[in-house]
Amino acid sequence: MDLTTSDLADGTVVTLVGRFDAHEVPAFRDSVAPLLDRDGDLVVDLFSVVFIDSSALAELVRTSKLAKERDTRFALRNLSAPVRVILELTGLHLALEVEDAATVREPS
Amino acid sequence: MTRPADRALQTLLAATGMDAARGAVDGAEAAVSSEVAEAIAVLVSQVADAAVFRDELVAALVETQNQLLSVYAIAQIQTASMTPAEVESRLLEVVADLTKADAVALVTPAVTRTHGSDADARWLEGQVTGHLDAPGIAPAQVEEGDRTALIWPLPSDDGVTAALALLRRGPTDTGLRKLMSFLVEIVASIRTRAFLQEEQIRRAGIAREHEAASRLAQAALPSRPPFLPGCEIAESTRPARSAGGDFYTHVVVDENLLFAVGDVAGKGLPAALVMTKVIAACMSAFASHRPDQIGDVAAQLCDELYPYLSDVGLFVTVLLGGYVPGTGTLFLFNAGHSPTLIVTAEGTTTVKSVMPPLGVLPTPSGKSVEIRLRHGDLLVVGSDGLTEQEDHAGRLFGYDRFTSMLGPLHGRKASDVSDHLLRLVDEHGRDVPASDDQTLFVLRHGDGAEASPPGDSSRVPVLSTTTLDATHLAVRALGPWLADLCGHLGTADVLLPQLGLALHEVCVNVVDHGYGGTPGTITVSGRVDGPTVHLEVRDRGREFDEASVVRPTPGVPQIRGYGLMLVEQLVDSVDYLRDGDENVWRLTTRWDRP
Repeated sequence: MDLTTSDLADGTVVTLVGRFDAHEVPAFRDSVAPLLDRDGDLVVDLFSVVFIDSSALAELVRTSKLAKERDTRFALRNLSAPVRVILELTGLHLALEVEDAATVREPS
Repeated sequence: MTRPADRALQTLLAATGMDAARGAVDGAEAAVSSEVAEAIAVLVSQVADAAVFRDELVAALVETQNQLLSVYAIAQIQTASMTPAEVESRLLEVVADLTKADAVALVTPAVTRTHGSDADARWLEGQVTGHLDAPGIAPAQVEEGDRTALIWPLPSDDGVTAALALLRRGPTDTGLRKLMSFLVEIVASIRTRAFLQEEQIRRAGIAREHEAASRLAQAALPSRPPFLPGCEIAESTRPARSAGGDFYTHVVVDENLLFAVGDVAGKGLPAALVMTKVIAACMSAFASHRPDQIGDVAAQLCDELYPYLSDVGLFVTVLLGGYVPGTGTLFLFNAGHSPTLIVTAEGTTTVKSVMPPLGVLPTPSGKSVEIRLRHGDLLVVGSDGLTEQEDHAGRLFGYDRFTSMLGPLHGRKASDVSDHLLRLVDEHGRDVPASDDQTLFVLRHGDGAEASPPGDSSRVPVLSTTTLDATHLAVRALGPWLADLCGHLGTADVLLPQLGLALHEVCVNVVDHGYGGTPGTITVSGRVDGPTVHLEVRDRGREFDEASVVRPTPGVPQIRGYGLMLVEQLVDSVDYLRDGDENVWRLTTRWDRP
């Protein structure tokens, strides 16, 4: 999985490309941990995630909790089909903030 | 009387005119008063008592000393480094030395050993033999002239059948008899120990020889199946004990195959030795024959091996085959070997035996059969160790079950067929040691690279098994594996990813919780039966504890517990069972699931 971060005026966008599964969780955690201490929002773009499992999902939940503790806004955007399915099956689309298409801000 | 007390008493008696023997009785005639005479008489009596006591004490000390000496002397006999015969000879020397005997004899049903001069030894042996013949043996003493024989039965586990005896000239005393009864016990226990050690050494030697011979015998089997364009072959054998009688062998001549799969009656070393002989005979017969001459090969083997096999009293069931991959022609000659089966699209048939096993009849009989194989047809030759494998309740795997498994396997790769059958037998015999060798030879006509023959895919189950390391990374290989398993079901944009995710979740759960990050393996088997996909995941990790699962509440975010929840939603059914030391997860889903 590729992970790139883009700095925007109101926060940081993390863009994931490829397979986000249990094997990728440690790398994701290491990359995202320093971003939580930045000012502004933290948004994860999942448009190009081709596979996601419950371990990766749990890591998103964990990250959102850490963000909440720091009063950082954490959101998911551009859900791919596999991501949408798993969020709906787990009911987490109701618990995690998902930006709807109208409000998506493309990374520059 | 030389001791000081005796001398003093003599002086006193002489001075008083008393007689020691009569003491105070003659006091009236003595030159002393009756009081003095009485006092002297008391002294005389006391001194006499002391002498007796002293002699008894000395005798007891000698006895104790003798016993200590004998224990020491016997302890010096190193039974571990001596044969039982050497131990017995040494024991006799020690006994003769300790008892100061003129001759010593040890008489057992097997052997008589003596120590001493020939004449004495013969006399003693005669006494002992006569005594052993008499019923109700007990310690005995026989006197003849100046010779005295002391005969002691030797204690043994199986009743008294042996005796230790010694010859002494002159009188024997209680001390000697006590010493003798003590020595007899020690001799008996040392002999027992020496024989036990000898038996252990003998058994260990035999076990080592068996092991070495069985390794040699197994080495006679070909190490890999033949490579032959136009067909696929899988061979395997698993000896039940160190040495087995199952065998297979093959040669490729001019792109044709000659092969044999057989079973030597019996087990262990004799069977393994005969097996190597039979393999050698097969190889030499194969070298001079074409595939269509397999009947002549059988006749040659019969002629060559019958005298040898009837000598050793063993027989050999064998399937002999000649195969021409170019045309798919198979010539088979079955000498009593079962199961031997041909699997075609039409069904499974038994290749009948045309001759009794080798070693039964001196002259060959029967004719080979010719079979034309089509693409995907199988020849499956097993050994009775497969069909007769028992389960924990003693039920056999069964010939019928073995046969009925094969139909659906038509067209599959030889290695898949072999793996599948062996696995089913393993599952049947779980926790039960194999009672006999298990050998399987599978030949599939047609290269693995070619497409399987067209058929009714709803009838033919598709099977596949894969084993992975229990790591998050290795689990990724299951995606392509599953796509391959289900590929023939047609495009399923939704079902395949769903099933893939379910399988992935089960396996990640095994990695994280079953093995807890420690090394291990996961075996995944798949079967597509019509529109239904069955997946089975096996691991040897910790037992799954359902109570530990945290069931998420929809809408309430939590970090654990989503895996199993997902699996339950993604497939039609998910079951867990603990099978011995394995966790087994079974997922089932229908391809036409709504």
